[in-house]
Amino acid sequence: MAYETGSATDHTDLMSKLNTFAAANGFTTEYHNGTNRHLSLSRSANNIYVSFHWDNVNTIAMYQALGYSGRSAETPWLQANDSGNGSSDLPTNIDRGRQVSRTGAGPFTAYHFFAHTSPYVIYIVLEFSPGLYRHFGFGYINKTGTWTGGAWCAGHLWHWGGSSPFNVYDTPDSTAHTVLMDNLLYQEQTYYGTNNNDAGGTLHVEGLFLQDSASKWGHAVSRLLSDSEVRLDRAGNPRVRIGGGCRGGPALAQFGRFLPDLANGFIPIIPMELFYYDGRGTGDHGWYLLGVMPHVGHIHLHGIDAAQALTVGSDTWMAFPMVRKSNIGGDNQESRNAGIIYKKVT
Amino acid sequence: MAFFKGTATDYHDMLTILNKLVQDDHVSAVTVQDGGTGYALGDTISLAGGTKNHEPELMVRGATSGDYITVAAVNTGGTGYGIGDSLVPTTGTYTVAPELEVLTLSGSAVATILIKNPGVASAQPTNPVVTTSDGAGTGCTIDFTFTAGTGIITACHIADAGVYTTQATNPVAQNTTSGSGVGAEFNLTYTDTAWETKVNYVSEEATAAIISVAGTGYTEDDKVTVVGGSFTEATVVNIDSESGGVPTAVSVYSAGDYVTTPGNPAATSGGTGSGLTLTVTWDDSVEEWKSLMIHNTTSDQYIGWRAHKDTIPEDAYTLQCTGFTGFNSVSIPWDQHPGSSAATATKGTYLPLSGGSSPATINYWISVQDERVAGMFKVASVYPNMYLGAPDTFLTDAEWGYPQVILGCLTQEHPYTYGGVDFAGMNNPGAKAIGSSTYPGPGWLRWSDGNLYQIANWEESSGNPSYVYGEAINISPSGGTSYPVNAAPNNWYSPSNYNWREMFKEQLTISAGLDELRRVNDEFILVPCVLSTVDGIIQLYGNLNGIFAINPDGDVNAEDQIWVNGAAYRCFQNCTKSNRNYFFAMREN
Repeated sequence: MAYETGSATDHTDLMSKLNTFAAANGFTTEYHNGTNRHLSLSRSANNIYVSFHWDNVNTIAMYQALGYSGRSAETPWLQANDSGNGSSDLPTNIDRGRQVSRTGAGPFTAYHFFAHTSPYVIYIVLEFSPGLYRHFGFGYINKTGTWTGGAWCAGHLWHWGGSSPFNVYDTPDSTAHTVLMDNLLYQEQTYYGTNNNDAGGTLHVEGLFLQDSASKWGHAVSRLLSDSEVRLDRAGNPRVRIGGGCRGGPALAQFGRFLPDLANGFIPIIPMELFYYDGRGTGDHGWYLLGVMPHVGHIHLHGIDAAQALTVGSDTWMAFPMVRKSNIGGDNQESRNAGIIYKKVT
Repeated sequence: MAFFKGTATDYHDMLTILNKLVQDDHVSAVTVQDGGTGYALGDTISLAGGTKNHEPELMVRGATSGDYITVAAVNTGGTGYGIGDSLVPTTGTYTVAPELEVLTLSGSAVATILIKNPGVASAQPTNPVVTTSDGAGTGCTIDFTFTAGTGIITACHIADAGVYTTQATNPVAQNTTSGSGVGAEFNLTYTDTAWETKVNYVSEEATAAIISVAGTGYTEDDKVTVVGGSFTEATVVNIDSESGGVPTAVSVYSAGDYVTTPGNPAATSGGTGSGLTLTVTWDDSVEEWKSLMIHNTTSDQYIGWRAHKDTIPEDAYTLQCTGFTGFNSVSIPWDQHPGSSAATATKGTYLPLSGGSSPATINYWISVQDERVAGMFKVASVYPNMYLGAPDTFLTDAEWGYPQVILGCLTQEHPYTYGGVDFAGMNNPGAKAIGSSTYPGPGWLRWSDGNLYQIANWEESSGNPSYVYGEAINISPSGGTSYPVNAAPNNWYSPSNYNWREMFKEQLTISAGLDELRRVNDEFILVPCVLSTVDGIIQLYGNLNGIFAINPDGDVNAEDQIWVNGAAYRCFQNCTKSNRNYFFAMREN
């Protein structure tokens, strides 16, 4: 359980610091090469295997698997039972698939690392430019019930579609974005291009109702997508839909309307539930509560500044804009008062 | 939280039992002192000792097998011991640690040993066994004799908290069991929920009156009032005839409502004369009124029930659920106590507990906390229910000083056989018409402004439930929470985000295409029952305390017990409705 903050000169510096932080908080460095811009981390006890590749220009690609297969970390999508998300067309098209998008090359204003051990999880908040943020992370979820799986990995794609009407930079509930396992991502190639294909977070799940026997992954995408649009893992096995996450789920519908009132101690931290949605079945579809994202929540930023620490009971939490706390419109990437709040342990 | 179950002979008996259940000492925790032998998981155990108003019950939740101590003989007595000192074996491997203590001494040496808990050994020690002690003694060694046993209790669930007027002394032995186990002993912890009785009486009324002393100066058709006793409404007698101002015949004009009746002859007042005394015949009221108001000295909640028999439109034996903000005196009419929710405009919070020519037997499951009383009942195959007291609020005491929910399952007096669509309470209540003074209920919430607001998820429309939005307080998940977003820049999420209501709703028949909340494996999902409304502004009040919506998922029936995260919940259908959107679970102890 730890928190660390600082600044980073570029992607390589950021990932080097993340590697050190993860290693100090229960994760194993499987492979790290700053020159070749690769990092593979694992925690085998929880079946957590994640890899990163970055371009030091604009994008950090993220991959999740169920094992580490050696130096193929330089082709990180070839790890054992890869989830299918993250570009396999490096370096040209690194900005396709799961990624931390459009960060610029750095130097970055600030980073915030949050680590917990119950369950093991690491969140990264990157202020890549003053007031502009990205959120990504990996680890294990707080599970409900008994099922096989639980490891997750999610990037942050904030889609820029060019000029109007394709520009959604200023639209925080756009289905072209994906943030921390949310189920809004609608992979519409003709509208958004191919950049948001396979961009959602992934969750290791096996043996769920109606899940293909060879399937090992859930993909955080819109429940409205067809089966083929949920797409396949790297081995060609089908994946299932994961619902909820940062911008989806019933808790947000129930509590998202409420504004915090710090003066009166009213700080509604909205849980990010994760569901399996059995959209492949016929008839009535089922929502299966798998658990919640640990030590993180939605927060409405009414009256709350970026990176503000809030005391809730005996805990300290830190709130950040989802992208930027502003409402200018046009070509400004912004998320109005949408915020994400993390439990901080120092 | 104290959970009780049992059977009442009728609806009056139910109130009598309810008054007993909320008071005195309940078993709030149990540890196994001696696991006995021969028990099976699920066996129930009644307990010896104490004086009880309601029998507690334990249920075996964990059992093991192994060697347990049957003899602990002193090998070497050691020195420096006192009676009651513990003796802890230093060798052997135990899945349940034995508990031994010094029973008698020879000087300061141990002479005999008390086996408080025979323990369970997975590897027996070799005799003699060296011991340590929490006292000053040293050097005692013991020769143990072990016997192999099965069905040794390791954990118990409090299946019924019981009501003790005198606590049993620990350790408490088994009285009876549903299985064949013997020898178990338990250490009980008691909690007294802080309810006290403010009103508890069966209404008496005058059925006849004859002249004892006639008095003088009366006029025919004078109305005289009986003096004395304790009443919410005094008996009035009519002067049917007189001769020269002296009454010669009288009759009961208004029967009255008495807590305690005056002695005969009873004095009178009123009319044109004086001196008339009467011999009055008293009996239980024809409508069988019985009143119970209780107050919790911790939460300061005032709640109550009035039982009575109704004959219009048909014979019905019902409890009217009522909330108050205070208590005046026993002889104040029910609807005139401070904050009474039994006023005409808000009284529609009924709990039907049978119908027909005579009241029926009632099975009950009652959960009592200082904040509230929740009850599920079974009459024939119908499950009426109620919730009275505070919800688990989302606001502070300063912001909402007296939160109160009074929730029955009908807005009018009908028997439990009533087939109307509007017969539903708890997690998915409905009314024939929202905002109608004819159908006021079936629930009310006392908000921070002191006013009562109607609770209902739906109203009847063409024979079917129709969701009401903004006109009453809803209970989610069935009652929604799909709210419009704030104006920019606060409108950061889509109002079309999936919400609980889309998996439950209010409909009687689950239509095709309605998504369903399902469980991944064996553990059920409990969805809090959240009270909220949107009427200009959105209010999110709190949860029904200990009550959850669940999807029975084809595996659970009414009365079934489920376990979620190690806690027990009792499941029920809602009155006559058993669809998943009317199914709920109440936490046990």
